[in-house]
Amino acid sequence: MRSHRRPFRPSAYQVYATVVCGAIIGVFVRGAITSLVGGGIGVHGLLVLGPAVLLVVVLGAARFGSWQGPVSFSAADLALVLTAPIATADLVQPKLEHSLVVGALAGAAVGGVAILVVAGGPGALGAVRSVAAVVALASLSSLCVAIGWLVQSSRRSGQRIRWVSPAVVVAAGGLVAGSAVVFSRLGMWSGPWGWSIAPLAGGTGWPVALGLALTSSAVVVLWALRRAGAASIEMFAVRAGTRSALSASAWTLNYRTAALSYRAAQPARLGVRIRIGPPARPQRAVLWRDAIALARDASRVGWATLLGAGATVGALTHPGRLLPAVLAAAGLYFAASVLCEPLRVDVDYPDRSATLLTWSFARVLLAHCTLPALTLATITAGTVLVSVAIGVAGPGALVLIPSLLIGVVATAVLAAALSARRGGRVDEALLIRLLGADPSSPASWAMIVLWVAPWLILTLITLGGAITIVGHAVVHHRSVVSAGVLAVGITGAVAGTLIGVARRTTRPD
Amino acid sequence: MSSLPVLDVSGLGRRYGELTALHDLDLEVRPGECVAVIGHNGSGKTTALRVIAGLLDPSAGSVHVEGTSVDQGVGAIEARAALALVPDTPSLYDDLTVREHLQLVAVAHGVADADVDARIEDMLGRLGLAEKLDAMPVTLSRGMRQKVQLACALIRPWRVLVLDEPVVGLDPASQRTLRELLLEAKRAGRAVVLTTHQLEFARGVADRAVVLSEGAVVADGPYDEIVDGAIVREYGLL
Repeated sequence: MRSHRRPFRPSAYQVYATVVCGAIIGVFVRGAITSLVGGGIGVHGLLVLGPAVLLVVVLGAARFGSWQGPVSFSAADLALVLTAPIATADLVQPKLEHSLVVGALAGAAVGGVAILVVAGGPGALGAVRSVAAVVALASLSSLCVAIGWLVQSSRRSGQRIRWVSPAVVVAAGGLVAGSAVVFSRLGMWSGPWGWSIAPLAGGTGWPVALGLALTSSAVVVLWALRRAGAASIEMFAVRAGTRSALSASAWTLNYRTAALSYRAAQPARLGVRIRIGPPARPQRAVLWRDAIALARDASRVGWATLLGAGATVGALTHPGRLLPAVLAAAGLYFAASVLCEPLRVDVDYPDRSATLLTWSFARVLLAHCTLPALTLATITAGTVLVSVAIGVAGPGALVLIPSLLIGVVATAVLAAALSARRGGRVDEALLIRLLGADPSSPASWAMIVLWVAPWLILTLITLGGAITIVGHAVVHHRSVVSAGVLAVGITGAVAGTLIGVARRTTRPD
Repeated sequence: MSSLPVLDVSGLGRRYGELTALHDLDLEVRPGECVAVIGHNGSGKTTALRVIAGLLDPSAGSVHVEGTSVDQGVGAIEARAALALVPDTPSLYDDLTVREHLQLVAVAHGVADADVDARIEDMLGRLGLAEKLDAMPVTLSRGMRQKVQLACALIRPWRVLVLDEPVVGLDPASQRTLRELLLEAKRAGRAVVLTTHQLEFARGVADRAVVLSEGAVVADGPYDEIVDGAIVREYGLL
């Protein structure tokens, strides 16, 4: 096949068009970036945030490999080419090389942007460091592509990547904290994601870091190329199906089907295969079922802990400020949403719970709220206790645990559950209306947001407001008890209303 | 056999928009009786069973179990719970083992007593699933998942068992086991309603046959008379 491939020879017109368009676009992009950033974010900002951001990018590349990856084949290729007597490595290697080159070029482009953002232009860095910065980020980008392929070609790696993802995000946060507080170049020396920013950051040792970056990338890229034949037709087939399903889901705003397609492409989740003895009381049946599901999908616990703890710390460390309070509310909502996955499973196949449990759907929905509420309450209460113990928050924060926490957690969980009841898809009539909406009209966008995410908006307003009220009292030395009572009243009233709404829900179609 | 029906369906109807899938279905099933609902594809058999089991809301009519409406009023929930459905397509949780499915059903219906595990093992053993107690549904064949679904219906208390195409995917030995279970249920005074295209399976189990066509009842009588008569040929069932 390689010998029959026609060499690529662009025409003069194609070259001319590429150069002209590239120059025009390049000028606009440079102007936009420099005007947005105003000449740089500073070396200190780069050292504190850069390694963490790039670590998350590397993680993202690995996770991408767990459900798609840098090498893909169309359905036609699968049927005709992959089943032909041709070595898989011969088919995969050209595509992998292509992806590595494209990755490197993309990384080089990011390097150019980074030079503008950090230093205001190559003149400030000098020619050597500018070239080194571009090369370093190009090599990191190729490393990401190679990691993506290594994960794509190994089922076990895909499982492990998903399991460790929350820990990696926490580690990235640790890099930020460590670089900001302990040693500014801690992140820069932490791994390839840090070595690759060394030319930009400058200082002593950057050539060594560059060398480490290039060496590590070369090793991983060579390893990936050696594994070109390690993939199976089944793996490519699943990914091709996922692409089709995602594309179809995107057109109809069916984000639940998109999520299920994405999940189906990934290897089975690693979890604890523990046995939990069944309870005697019928009221605990769903709680028991949810506990088993949570134990068998450990990453959900990780993500919920990350979101819930992050939200709590954000609210404690920025009292009285609206934006952190709203972000905290969003974090709690999404933590609850992650924990409500068993409810979503019952919404996907509503006949299942009706057949096995013969409970009304309202009872099933409310039963599915128990474990998320208990888990989220434990996460947030634990975070408050730890925050007070290490001095991040004052002892007054302990007042929050028995009071505000109940209403906050209940509201977040019930809102997430009612959102899950919608099935993760937009009603057909609404979809038609959305597609016909005027994109230039703010009213249209308000309608879209209100219809697509009403429960999230309710949570942001209610919990964001309640958290702000209490924080405001703390900051301005007003009566925290009064503020707490008001906040409990607000969240309690909303939670009570949501319970009423939940009691009247019917089984999805 | 008691004269009072344990399942009383009266004037049942179901529409899907302009399409009438079921209209004016009357069906009485007495304790110890098995009724086979038969008909060609699209005749409304599955719709009838799903409406009776409460998975679909009726457009008209009512369903009573032992004189209590399953839709509204006092005792509706208990009446609904007295109906056990085995759907035509097995639907199990991907993250629960076979044993855990039956435990979940037993707990939810308040029968998770001290010997529930022994009953679960006995039930699954009879259905040829003794080796699959701790297997996940994704590792089971369709026939095995169908047997798990059947076990989930049988492990809990019920007065009326509703089975939609129960023998699809079952091997001959499992079909014989299913016949034995249904005969035992009848001897215990419970009622069974099933749909099937395999008329020979239901012979010797079903007491009556109800023939549906275009959503309406066209024949209702003793099973052997209906199945051996001209009407099954007239409606394309043989």
